[in-house]
Amino acid sequence: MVNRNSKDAHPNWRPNFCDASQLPDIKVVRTNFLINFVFVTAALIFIYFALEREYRAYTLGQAITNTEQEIESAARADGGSLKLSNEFKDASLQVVDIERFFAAPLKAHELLVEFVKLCPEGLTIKHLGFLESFNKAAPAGSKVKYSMNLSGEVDDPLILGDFKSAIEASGLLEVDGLSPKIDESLQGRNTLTGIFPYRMSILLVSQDKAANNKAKGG
Amino acid sequence: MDIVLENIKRYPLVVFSIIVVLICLVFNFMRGDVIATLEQQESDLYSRVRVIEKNRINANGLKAELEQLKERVSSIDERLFDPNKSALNANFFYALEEQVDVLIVRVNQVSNEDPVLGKGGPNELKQYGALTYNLVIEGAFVDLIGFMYELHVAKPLIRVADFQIIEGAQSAIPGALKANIRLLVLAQKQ
Repeated sequence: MVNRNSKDAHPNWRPNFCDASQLPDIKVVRTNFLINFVFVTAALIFIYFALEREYRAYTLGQAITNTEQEIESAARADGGSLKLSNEFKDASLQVVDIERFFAAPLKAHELLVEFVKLCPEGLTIKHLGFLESFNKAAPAGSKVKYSMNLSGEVDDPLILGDFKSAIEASGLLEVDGLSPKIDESLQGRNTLTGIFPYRMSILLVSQDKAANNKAKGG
Repeated sequence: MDIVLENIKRYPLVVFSIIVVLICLVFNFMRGDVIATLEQQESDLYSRVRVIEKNRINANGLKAELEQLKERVSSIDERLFDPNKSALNANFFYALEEQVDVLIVRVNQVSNEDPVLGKGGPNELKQYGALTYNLVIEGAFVDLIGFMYELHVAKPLIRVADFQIIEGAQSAIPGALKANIRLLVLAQKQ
């Protein structure tokens, strides 16, 4: 039994002598132009993008050339500016050193004058010292400490309290973010003269630290 | 093969378009990164222009300021102690006796550098040096203050770091106070 669907089942019994190129085109809807249209459009799109990129490259090249010329013409002046700037920087290092040298919260003569003005009647100072000390182990920013120590005699213990209050109220020692922490002590009264020897120490601490201590104290 | 040739003959415009597209693709492959390169170059140049412009603005009036600064720095340099002229330096303090009524008992130059201004200190000096002196002076309280003021306004740059004023010390001047002063003098870098 021969399969009817098989190609070899029924070979052409009559050869086809039609010449397709010579036959007339009898298509109702013409499609050749569509193929041309698609390919030509694709080619035009590619050409457009290629030209667009080249134009952009050209304009960028122009802009770069102009900018390079601009830089070239400004380079000399810029070199001068940089040289000036470096000279200024070097010179300003010396001024910075001067600031460092004078970096202290108090001037000795001013401190003495203001301090003596605060002295109440009935209080004498026999020893007055101001000390700048350096603590290498302290945290940065508080390595340098300033302290004062006084000793002398006072007629009445209340006067010493007044003196302490006067120092605190004056704001004399509240400079550069520092605040005075004052400790005073009375020694035994001299029975012959009736006066009280005293000692007072003032430590200048940073105001943040002083505020913390106050808060802890009460 | 015949079919291909036949189609080429049939669609010459398509063939031409395909050739154009292929040329464009090759062109794109060869010059695809040219825009990115140029944009990067342009961006770098604009950055440089901005820096130059910033420098120009910053340098506005800088010359005059530099002149002023140089004048000040040179005036500072004139006021520095020379560390090699110990006797001359010590004499400066003794000469102050003529201006203020105090007795200068002792002037000692300390060989160690000040820990605050010295190497590794919190206010380390880079361009200058600092000489430390211990002075012992005697005089009335007002004169001691006057002496410290004279140190402050003196031509050399001086800062009083510590002082102790003591009453009742033995003195050549009756009723005088004694002051121990540690002071720092700005000097040439050694």
